Amino acid sequence: MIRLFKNILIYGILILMVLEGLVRVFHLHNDLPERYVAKDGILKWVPGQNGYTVYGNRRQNFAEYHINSSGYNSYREFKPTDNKTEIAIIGDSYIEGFHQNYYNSIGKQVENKLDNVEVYEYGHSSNDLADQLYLIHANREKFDKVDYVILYVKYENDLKRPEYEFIPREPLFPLLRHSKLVVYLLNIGILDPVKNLHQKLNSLKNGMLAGGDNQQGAPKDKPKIDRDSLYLENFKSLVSKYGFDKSKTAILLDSRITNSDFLAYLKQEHINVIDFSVPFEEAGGHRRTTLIYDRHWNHTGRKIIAAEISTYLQKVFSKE
Amino acid sequence: MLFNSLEYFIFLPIMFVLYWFVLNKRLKFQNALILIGSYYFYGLWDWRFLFLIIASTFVDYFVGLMIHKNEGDRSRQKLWLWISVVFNISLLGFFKYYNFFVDSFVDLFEMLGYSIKSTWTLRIILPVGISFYTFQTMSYSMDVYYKRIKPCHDFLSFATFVAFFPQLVAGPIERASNLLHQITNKRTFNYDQIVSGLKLVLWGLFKKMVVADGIAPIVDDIFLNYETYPSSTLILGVTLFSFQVYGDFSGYSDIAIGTAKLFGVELMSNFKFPNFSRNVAEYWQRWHISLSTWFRHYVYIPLGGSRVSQSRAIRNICIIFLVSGFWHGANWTFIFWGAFHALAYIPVFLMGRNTIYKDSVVGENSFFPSFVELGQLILTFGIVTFSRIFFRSESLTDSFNFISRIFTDFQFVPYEHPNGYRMLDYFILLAAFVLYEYRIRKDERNPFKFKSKVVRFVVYTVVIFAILLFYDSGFDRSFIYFQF
Repeated sequence: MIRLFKNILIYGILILMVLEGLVRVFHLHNDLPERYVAKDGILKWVPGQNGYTVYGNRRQNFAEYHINSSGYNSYREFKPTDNKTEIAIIGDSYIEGFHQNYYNSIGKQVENKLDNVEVYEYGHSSNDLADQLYLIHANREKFDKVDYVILYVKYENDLKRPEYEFIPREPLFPLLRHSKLVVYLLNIGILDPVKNLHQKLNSLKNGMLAGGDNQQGAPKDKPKIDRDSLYLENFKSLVSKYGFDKSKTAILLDSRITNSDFLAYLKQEHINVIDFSVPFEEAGGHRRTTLIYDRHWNHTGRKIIAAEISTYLQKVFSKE
Repeated sequence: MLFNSLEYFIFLPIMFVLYWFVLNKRLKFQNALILIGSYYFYGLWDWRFLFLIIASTFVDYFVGLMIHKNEGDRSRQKLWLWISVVFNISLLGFFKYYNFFVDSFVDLFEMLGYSIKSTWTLRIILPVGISFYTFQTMSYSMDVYYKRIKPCHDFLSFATFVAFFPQLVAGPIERASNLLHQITNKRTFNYDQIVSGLKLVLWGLFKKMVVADGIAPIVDDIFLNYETYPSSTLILGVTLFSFQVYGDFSGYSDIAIGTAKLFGVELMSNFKFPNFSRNVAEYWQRWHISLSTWFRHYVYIPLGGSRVSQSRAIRNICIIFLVSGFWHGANWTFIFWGAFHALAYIPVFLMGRNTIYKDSVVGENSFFPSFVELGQLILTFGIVTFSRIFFRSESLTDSFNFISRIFTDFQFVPYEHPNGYRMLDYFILLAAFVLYEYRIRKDERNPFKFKSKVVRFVVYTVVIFAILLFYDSGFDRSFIYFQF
């Protein structure tokens, strides 16, 4: 029996070591950059980092990133001026663009389609509308020089908060992430059951600390609020708190997954919308617009987004 | 609980440690642990259906005792045997075939010009593994009846034999003469047996998670959208499905046999490299062996087998293949699949070549197969793969449309998966898999038979690395044969 456990242990350790080496040699792991809290109180990537993001197994999506001095993944520095035309695209990981080479991002594709325009991509994973509007609010001087702002809003995720509040984002198992094998296993989802168990245990622990009885009693006392009404109220609250310049801002969205009342409200308030649902629908038949192991846009999806933004901006600038 | 889930890899070591280090003093305790563990293992799917297993266990335990008690009174013994058969077939009939019969009845009347609005179909969930454990319990009663074994007087052991979790939900369908005495006798800790079990578990996981699950999204896409693809893609789809179903089911069987070894139990082999069969008869000696054996012992031989007139022997072959097809599922596609195999088997039988490869493997005395053998392998693989169109299609209409497109829209267009999977990865994988299986073709129970420890270590690492390379978290990872 001792022989069995000894051999399992020896073989196990040796195999793990070789796998760690193989993952590093074939660069199967994701080089996630480091984060920091900037002076404006916003979470950004530490400037100057370069590396490769890897999504899916067998390096199915392999892309280079470059963090600029503003703390965003971009091929250019964000230095708006009064005399040039600058466009800011603000959003979450879809705009952040770790799924493409930084030199072929959505912003770059927009620049290629429009003349004399600089596109600044303020994308950061998990950012919602509160993060986006607060970013503009906290950097008012800079954004006053930007000629047009496009906010990417995913209805399902981005309207959950009525105001901005700093949320620290620690990666799961930070110490274990020194092992590239663990990073790879986390990325391909093989450790999802462990992650889920960890989250369940955490929520159970938090629930116990908060007192089981109170937790159970709480929903009864709270009036039931309709999710869509709540999201609309959150939107109004964010706009009133941080401002929203309708004359030079548009919301990029997919109307297929956006509440119709919210869309009606935007129309009623004359808020500009770039809806990419139709071209996505058309392209979605056989050539899908998202990655294999991920719901982020693939090359086709990004190309459509860049084309939609460019067409929209061409119309805006031609009117001016 | 799935063999390829995290829950199983928590459950299994706990069971192993309790079995060998805590409850190893008494056989009863070990059997009780396996029984409770097995019910837990099954109950995670749907605890309500545990009652069916328990009912089947009670009925056949009692039937076994009564057959023994009525020794000398053959008619009474027969009556008790019929009770077992009727009970188990009724379970299967209701849960698996009821709606099929109602729908077929309605369709038949519609064909005759009568329109019937069916209100008899029920929303029945098919209990996982019902086709496997009912056949196992029935075989026990039949073995007692035919005096092949003595009845089991220890209910705990018998219940453990029926519910033994490694093979409960998808076989191998064990005969009591092989498994029951292993349950009733003391097992001893055997290092070599446990290591051999671990190796089989690893190899089974590879076949399931890499070969079967790796190519599953491609097969799914091609069969779902077959109307939009040219013949080259359809041929690719059904060929890949052939590998998928083999990887899936033989992977399951390897994990089951390997797990049983961890508890000191030897289950029968269920697959012996069927892709290297030289004719359809040899294929059936290598594919789902436990089911083929079951049908041979309890259907084919009682009907007279091949020791009757040629016409009756052909009738027996047809019966066994049709029943085997029907066993797989309540759908005409499976019956056609069985009929197709009967048609492919009969010429081999008439030529007297149905048993010539029984005790040999391809390339028996050489490293490479001869050209003749290579031709035989390709032909047999082609026939079997073609039959899988019926096996995989949702309906007979789909099957025939699929076949019709292969022969009418003949053109070669390189296949591109809509999600952009790199096809080259899969071709390399399958080529490596086939070559490796050819290398180990003589011993299905020892997939890592290398003298050098270093080579063994490299192969283990490559296998685990391949699992990591092809693992797809967004894919439903249950086993194909669970639906049967």
